[in-house]
Amino acid sequence: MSVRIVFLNEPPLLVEEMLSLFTNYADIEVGQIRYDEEKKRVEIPLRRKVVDFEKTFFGRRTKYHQGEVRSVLRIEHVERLDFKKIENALEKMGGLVTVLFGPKIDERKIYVSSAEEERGKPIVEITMYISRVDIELVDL
Amino acid sequence: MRQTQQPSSPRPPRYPDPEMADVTESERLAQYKQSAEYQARQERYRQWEAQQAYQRYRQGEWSDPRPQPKSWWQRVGEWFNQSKTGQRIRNATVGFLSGLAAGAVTGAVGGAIVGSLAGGVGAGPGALGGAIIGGITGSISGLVTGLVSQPSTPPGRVAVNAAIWGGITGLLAGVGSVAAGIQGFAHGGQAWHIGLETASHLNIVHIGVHTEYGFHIAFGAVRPYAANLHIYLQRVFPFFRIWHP
Repeated sequence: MSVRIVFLNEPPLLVEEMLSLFTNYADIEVGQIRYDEEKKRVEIPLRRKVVDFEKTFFGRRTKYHQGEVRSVLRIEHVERLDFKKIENALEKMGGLVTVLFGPKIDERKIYVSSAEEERGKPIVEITMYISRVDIELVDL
Repeated sequence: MRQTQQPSSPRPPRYPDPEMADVTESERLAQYKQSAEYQARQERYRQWEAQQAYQRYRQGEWSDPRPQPKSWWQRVGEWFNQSKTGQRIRNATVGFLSGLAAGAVTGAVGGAIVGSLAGGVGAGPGALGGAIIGGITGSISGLVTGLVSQPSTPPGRVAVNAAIWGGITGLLAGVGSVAAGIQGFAHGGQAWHIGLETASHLNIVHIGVHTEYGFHIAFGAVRPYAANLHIYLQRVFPFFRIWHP
């Protein structure tokens, strides 16, 4: 699977929700995150869950299977990267954290947070300041 | 018929009466009170006052003053103090608050002592954990104390009883929980959080504000640092969002 989203300004919320559908609950290998300042590109390796839908009495429900798909979330036109992490907690987690809701996309910022918190503070927070929205999710 | 007012001519200057020049002001007033003009004026005033009193009598404004209408908060206060249901609610509220305060204080003291002695918790997190758990148990026992007390019991006595029971249960719960390895955490700022976790960082419950996703409450844990259920409030329908692995 490969999805690329390009917008000159802030994309509609539906786009964010679609990307969130695929990347929610995915594991991030924090040590493998790459930021190429020359190409202004950030690559976040993911182990995303297999997404499926099932019919229930209340309607269609998203279902995440246990299987993992190795993917990479590639963000282009990154002017600045703000990468916050709590080292000692991250070590105890084995360098893997879980994505909370997927990337949050604004016109000039993309934000990814870990669901794991150390006394309320996210263990990993990745804030990418961008000149335009250009995100690609590629399965490896 | 309406009359047009003519512009008044300037008053002539008042010169002292040569006959009254050597009379003082009080003497002049005494002389005026003895005059027929003054007596007639007084008589007219008495008649007018009697007429007014008669009118008030006819309109029912005589004798005792009418009761003033009470404001809503006065009526609420009377309801809390006089009706059985109101008294029960008053006692429950007083008991809850007294138990909360007493339980939090005793729980914090007990938790700090036990936390400093127990390994891996520490005095500060122990005090906070003890205060939270002591406050919860103390408020519950204070609420029960307030509910089971007679409705006519004075609120002061309910407060004392609830504080005693809240303090005892808060102390026991605070000490017990910290001894079992439960600790509290709190930090302020824009992304404030307060909650309880085990010494091995398994979340029990916390509330707080995420910098991007806003206010949330989290219960349980799937592994260290990872809560089992996050409920985030949001401004758009359906006004909440759940994250549950």
